[in-house]
Amino acid sequence: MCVWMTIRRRFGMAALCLSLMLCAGCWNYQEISDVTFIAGAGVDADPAGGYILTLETVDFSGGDAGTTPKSSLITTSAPTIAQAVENAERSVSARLYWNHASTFVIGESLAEENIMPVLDFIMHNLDTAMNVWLLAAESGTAQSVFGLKTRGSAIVSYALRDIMQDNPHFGQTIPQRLFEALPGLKSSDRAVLTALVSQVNQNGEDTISVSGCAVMRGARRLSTLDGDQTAAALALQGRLSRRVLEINTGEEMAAVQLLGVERSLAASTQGERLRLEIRVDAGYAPIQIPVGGVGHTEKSLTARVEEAVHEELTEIINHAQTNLGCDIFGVGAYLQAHNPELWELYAGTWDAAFSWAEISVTVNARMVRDSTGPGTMEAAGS
Amino acid sequence: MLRSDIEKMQLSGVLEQDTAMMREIFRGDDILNVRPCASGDGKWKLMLFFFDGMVNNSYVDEYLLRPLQIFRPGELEPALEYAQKRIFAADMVVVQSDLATAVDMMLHGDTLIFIDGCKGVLSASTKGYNLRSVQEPDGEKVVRGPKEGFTENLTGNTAMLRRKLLSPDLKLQVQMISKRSRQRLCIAYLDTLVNRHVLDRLLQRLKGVDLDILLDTRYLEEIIRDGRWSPLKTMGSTEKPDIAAAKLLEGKIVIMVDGSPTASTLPFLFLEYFQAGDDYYTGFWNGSIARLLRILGFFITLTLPALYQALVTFHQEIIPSKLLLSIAASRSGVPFPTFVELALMLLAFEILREAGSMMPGSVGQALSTVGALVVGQAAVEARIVSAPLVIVVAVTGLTGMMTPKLVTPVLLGRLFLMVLAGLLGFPGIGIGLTAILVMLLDKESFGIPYMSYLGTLSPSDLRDTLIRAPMFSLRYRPKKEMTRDYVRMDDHQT
Repeated sequence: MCVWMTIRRRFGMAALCLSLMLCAGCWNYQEISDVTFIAGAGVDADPAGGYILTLETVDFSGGDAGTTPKSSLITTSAPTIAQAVENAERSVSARLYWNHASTFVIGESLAEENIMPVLDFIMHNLDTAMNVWLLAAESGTAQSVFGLKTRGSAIVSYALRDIMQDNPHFGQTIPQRLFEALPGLKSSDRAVLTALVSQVNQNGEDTISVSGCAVMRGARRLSTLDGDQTAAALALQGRLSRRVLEINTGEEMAAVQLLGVERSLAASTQGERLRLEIRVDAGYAPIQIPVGGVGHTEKSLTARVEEAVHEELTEIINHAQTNLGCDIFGVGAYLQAHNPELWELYAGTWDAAFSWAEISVTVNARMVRDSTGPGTMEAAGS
Repeated sequence: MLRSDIEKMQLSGVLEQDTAMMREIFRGDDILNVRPCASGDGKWKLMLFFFDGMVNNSYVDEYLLRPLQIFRPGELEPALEYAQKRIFAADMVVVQSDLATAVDMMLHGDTLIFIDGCKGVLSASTKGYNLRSVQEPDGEKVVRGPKEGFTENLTGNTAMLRRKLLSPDLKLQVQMISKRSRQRLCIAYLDTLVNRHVLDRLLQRLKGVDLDILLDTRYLEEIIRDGRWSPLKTMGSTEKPDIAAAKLLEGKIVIMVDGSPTASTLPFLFLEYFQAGDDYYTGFWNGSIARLLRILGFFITLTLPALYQALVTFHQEIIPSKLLLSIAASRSGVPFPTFVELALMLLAFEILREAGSMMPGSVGQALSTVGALVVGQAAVEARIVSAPLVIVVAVTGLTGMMTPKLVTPVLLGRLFLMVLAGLLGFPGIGIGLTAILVMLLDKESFGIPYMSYLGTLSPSDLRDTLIRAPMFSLRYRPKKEMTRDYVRMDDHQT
């Protein structure tokens, strides 16, 4: 009996091991040197029809661990994005490796048409990480973006990743990953703000810059916002964490740093018209105050900050209502979550309701830190 | 001539015949010393047999020959008992009627005294062979604590053990185990603590041992232990009497062999690989951290190459982008697949380590260090291997040195996991670790489960396992099943 139990136990162990081996993926073996790493991808609309796919790959040839890797571009075009990817795979000797792609850039022309087929392909491509950073080219093609000079990494995609991820951007853009943007892009009645990448000239040198955002709606680009407008939009979304705000004092400029902006929203109806009361609480710290000027007391400075913030917020709200005709602040989503009965009244015609709504903004600013500056401050309350 | 042949011989009591018989037994042996002598008045004729170098010559002169020369028996008939009690002044003189036993005693350094007319022989203890002095064992050095170690002399070793445990409860059973070399083996245990089943099992297995020669306890271990084909040992070893005494106090059994400074302990559990004498002599904080580091080092040295293999060839998506690109850049131009790279470097490391251990002292150390640096650097520059792999191998090798007793099992286990990782990635490592765990759980050491401590959550059992709890909290012996007296310390002492 004992011998039989031992044989049975060993047979059971062998069967278990075999079944585990069948569940494993020995067919997934691939040497790291046998793949081509894709750092980033960009898609443009082909004027002749179809898509132009640009892949920025990492080139290790001629180097070792101490050498900075270079990048090389693969550009293909095809009627469909899937065909374009296949063409790209055929043009290299090693398998394309998407898992570590960090950025995805949408060209201006494609953004104005429809980016959904491209996003659909990405979602179905098992290798692609959904946490790639999504950017739109402000003007020109995605292909040209990968040719821009960078100050950090020699590889444009990684430089963009670093900007989006590691560098503070003072609220001038919206760092958003693909999985964050997808729900909004797939929806036809929501606007999504996507970071804009462009070329700027600094000290006589053209370099890459990420500032402002593109307003995407129904997977199409509606318009763009510059850096200040983006910051204001972020403040109204309650997502602005830090930003330098310049205050015009008449003679000299002052600057404060906004530290954390909180938004609260109250909605009501006035007849058929929607009424929105937005309250923004902003903390700030003075960073450049002219001596003897407006920042001489905390009270006066706070008033100026409130005035400046209010002006910016009112401007962007008008722009959204008048020029864009859509809600870019997430007010609809907020109402849907917190006031479903009110949302039901406007659900089907939210754009129109928002454009026609009476929106009032109240700004409360508070100095949270007295940072070192060239000016002097009297006691609070004076 | 074998002992079985000697057993057939009988002592005649006639000096010439017995002398001839002894010469025949040791024919061709030039070291045998045959010393004819007589009593002071010449009435008694005697013959002394001893081995040059095995006896203390001045002791033989002083306590055997001189008293004999003074002695004048007159009309007294030769009698062994009279000579044993009244003539010879050696501290131990025994009457032997069995020639084979007498020859054994002589081979152990005694002097045999044949008296004409007496059918028997006296065996006088005159051992005087050169012995190594008591030193600290190289492989068990401690910063603090006793530094004496066993030597090749069984008598001295048993004395050292006796000095640690001054109790009549300590039993030292001596038996001859080797038919040719006639070496003695000593089984030590504490009568009130030892597990009788384990002791019976040991004695049963020893009965079946038929060794030619027993140069070291290792010979015996490989015959009597459980899992004789397994690279993991089921009998422990130590060269330190304090550690042997500590094992005895846990209810274990210690086996010592004449001619070997290494004592075997049994039963042996897997966690003992990670225990060291220093753990108990340098405080419980130091001891616990050191033990945890050893355990961590064991896991690292066992699994790191396989993990690297799996990550780089199957699961690249897990590696952070920057690290992956660094590895990829390092690997560009390397002609070998990752598995071959790993195998080559690990092999080179093992060769250097083995060569270093074979060479004497400082040369060996220099060889290992220089060899590792030069070979590693040259291999990277020649693009034979990549730099991250050299780091992996270096960490693997260094952590492996934290548990030197586990070198061979870890080597085999590491290779096993590497092959599985190369075939299947992480699932392969999982399969491998599961198989190793099953093998460990299935093992026994003289009836005691090999992984005893790890299968329980009993606080008293866990206090001296992954950590070394303070002495005041070690109230109970580690394992109930191994001892008959579970309580180590009374309540009022804690």
